[in-house]
Amino acid sequence: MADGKFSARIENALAIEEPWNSARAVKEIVAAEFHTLDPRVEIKFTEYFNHTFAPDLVLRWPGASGSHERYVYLKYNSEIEFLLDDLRMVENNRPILLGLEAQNWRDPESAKELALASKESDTLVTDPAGVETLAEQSNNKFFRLVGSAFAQGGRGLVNERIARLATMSLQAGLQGARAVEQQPTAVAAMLVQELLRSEYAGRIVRLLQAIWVGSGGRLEEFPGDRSLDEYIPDDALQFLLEMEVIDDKFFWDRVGQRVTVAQLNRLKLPDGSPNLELLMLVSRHRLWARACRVRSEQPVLSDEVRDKPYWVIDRHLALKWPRFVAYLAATVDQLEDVPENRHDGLRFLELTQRASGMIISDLEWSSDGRILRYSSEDHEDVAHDPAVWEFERGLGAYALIRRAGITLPSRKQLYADFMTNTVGGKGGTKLVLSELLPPSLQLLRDLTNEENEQLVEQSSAPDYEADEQPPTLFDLD
Amino acid sequence: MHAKGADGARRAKIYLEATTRANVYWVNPADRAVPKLTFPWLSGGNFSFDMGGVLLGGDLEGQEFLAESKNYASAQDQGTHYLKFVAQCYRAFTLRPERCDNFVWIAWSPFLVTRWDELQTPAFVREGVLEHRGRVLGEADPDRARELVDDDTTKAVADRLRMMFLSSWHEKLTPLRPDLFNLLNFERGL
Repeated sequence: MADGKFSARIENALAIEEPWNSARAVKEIVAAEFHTLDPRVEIKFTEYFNHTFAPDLVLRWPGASGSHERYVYLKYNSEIEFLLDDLRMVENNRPILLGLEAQNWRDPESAKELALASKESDTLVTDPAGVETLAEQSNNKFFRLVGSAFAQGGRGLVNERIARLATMSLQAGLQGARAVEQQPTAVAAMLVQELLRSEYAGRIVRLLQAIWVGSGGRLEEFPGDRSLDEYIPDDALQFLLEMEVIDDKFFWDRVGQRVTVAQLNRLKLPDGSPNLELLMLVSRHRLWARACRVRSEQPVLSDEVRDKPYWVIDRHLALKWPRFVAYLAATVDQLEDVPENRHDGLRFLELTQRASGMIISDLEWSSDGRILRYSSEDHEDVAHDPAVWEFERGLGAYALIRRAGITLPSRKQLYADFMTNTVGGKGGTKLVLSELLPPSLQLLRDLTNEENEQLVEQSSAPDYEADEQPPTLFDLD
Repeated sequence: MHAKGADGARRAKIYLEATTRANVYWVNPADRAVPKLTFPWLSGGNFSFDMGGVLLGGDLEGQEFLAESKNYASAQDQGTHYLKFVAQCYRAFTLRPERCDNFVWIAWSPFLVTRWDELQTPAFVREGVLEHRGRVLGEADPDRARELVDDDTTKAVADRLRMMFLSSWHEKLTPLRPDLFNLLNFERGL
């Protein structure tokens, strides 16, 4: 039950004698409730109050392609006929009409007319208890997504009863998708398509679909409008990764089969998340990339200090260590936006120590403005050639290796660029992350023993055995 | 042209707001608006205006108004109502002058046409107050009541009386909806 606090606060604000102060207080209370419903929203007050044409509040959402807005009209009248009249005046803007008094709508016929008119015009007609009911679930990330979708694209008549029905059905739908049960999933999908404009309904349905597929359901059996793409849409993946932990490696394995590094790079998780850790744990042997750039980064004071490496998505999928970050991309060009720690190169002796266990098949020295390249035609080891020591001696004490070609035991070819701290697959060679990361970090960093151990841990095969936990995420109560 | 359920006060609100120069905050009988429009008679009991709000723009910016609307097809007993209205204005001004920048009478039919030039004068306000002397002044005796009427207040009220006449046709002559949304600059005060 909505506890009526929102409504009571509005009532107190309306009781303020002076008109401007009263209107301002009402707007502040309504704005606070919309903030609870969707913390991302920016809210501006207009100077109007209960106006026929001008909104009281403008909700604004920042976005990559510019911000978008939705008007909120506060209404004194709870009579359906008045609300219908008000709706007709402003419906072209697809706004929210918020009745300041509880809407009982006892006459089912008129309520039906208002429900139909508001749905057809993509306008949300609601009351304090309706908004409060949607907002009171907002400590749950899934319902925060639903709340945001309602604020941006909710439509139809939503009083407390309908809001309650919506939250219950969505909760059941979420559990249904997780358990691969058609009926509750179908009801939830139908409901969001009824109560949300198509683009916002689509987000929730795609998320349900991703959970359905991740839980082992067949895509073609998903009840609701299906995205025919075998990949999980970006928005659904972003939400999945942000949600409360889904401690089910099989789930993330199925999800991981449908995502790519390029797609992860489009998302935003600068602080990482437990679900991203799980996804990477089971997917690092499958996800591939062609380039890795390592950058020294000192933690700033506000950073949470973690002693182990963890995954983040900050323009790129990256493994964040206490002293440095390893950024990954499908091509080296895509790493242009990661600033380089520019170096002159590496001493040959140090390279041979770092490249222990790898074959160095190509060397490029730089010394006093001269470049010398020495390379094997067949990607064989050149580091032990007597000629190399001759070059070293001849070039003098200031000669540095600026690039090196490496052959992995798998015969895959890498190059390491010590000036930009970048390792890439030669000639478009793709490497799975557990294959790319160890040589990249070993070549580009002077790793401590502890870092070496952590690297081994990061590239070891995932353990799928008996540590399965029953999923707890969706037990909202 | 108007949706069902739109009564006089509602039509007046829509018209006033379509002019872009008024914002009708409170309309009777919405429960939570009523207290803002209600004043007590001196003798006990209350009266309330039909609507109230603020005026916008130019020299009217920020002024408050209280209004009564009579959606009658003919004069009917509007004269009697108007006389009571001016008595209410006198009482409201006595109690809360800061809320009484404008008293607006909104009608759809002329009335008291033979006394047209008197309707917004201090003398007419005095007449209204004396007609309702028991409730406004708490004095039943006409002679004693005459002595209680305050001339400054009757003049202040007369200065604040406004007449507005509407008809369906007149109500059409407001900016078209898309123009109106451009005229109403929501950014003001944002």
